[in-house]
Amino acid sequence: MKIIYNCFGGSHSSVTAAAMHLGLISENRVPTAEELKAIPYFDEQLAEDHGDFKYMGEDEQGNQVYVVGRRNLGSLFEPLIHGIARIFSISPKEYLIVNTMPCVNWIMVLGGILSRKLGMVSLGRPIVIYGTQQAHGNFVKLVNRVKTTILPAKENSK
Amino acid sequence: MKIIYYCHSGVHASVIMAGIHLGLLPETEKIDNAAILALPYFDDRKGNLPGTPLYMGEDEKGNQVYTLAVGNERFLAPKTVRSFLRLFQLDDREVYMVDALKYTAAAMKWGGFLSADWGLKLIGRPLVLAAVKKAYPDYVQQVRRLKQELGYLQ
Repeated sequence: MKIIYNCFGGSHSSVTAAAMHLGLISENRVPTAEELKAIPYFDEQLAEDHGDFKYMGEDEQGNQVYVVGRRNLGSLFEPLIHGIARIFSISPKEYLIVNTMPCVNWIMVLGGILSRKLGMVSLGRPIVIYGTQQAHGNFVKLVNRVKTTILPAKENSK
Repeated sequence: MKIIYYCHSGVHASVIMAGIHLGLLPETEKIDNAAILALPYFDDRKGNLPGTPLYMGEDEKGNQVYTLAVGNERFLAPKTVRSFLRLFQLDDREVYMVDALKYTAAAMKWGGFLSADWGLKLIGRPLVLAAVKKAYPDYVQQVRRLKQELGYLQ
């Protein structure tokens, strides 16, 4: 199955959740700034990258994990993906869409806008890293729910 | 092939162009309200979530025609669709995305928003209808160009 973590810019919350899913950062302690910076695509994607599904890796069950920035598609994103999948006979069991925006706090938003939208990386990056560390518990909850509830339910569905 | 016309709402400009494409609307200079309102999904999603591709019909070459709402992301939406298809090794040439926003006036965007999203049909719908009628010859021409490009017209 393809697991698609998505957020506004595909740079922070989706990347962090995907990294935790893949075991690139620990669930048991808050990641250091260096650990976050080492995640592929973390605080890297720009407007022209949005809409491109980026491959993050394969998890222990053989699921492929992706991130994507959906920008202002917002609530249109999921119906769009489900609709296109239906048109092309892609089974709902072949993919899972996970919205990571509920994990995001205002510090991440602020740092993300400074670093990605305004290009003030040296100012925005430390802020977005601090925000991501503060939001660690949200990512743990989300990734746990994906692994223990959503994925098994999807695999058992018809 | 799937042909997807897209606009802000997925139920206004895109439905008009899909209607012309499928022969549900005439290729004339003028159009009346009744013909527009008779189109499936015009100004009415029929309970579908915005973003869901709406099936309009099959054309003379056996291609399926859809409409789609893209909000303010007229460039990101087609890219997302093609990128998603590539994940499954599907040929993205199997989908032909047509920007129906080229001739869309502000009145259609905001009228459509009021009517289809806010339920203010009394105010929104006349705005949309007036904007459609004004731009109608452009829509006809754009569909004809597309059909030429795809080899429908000799």
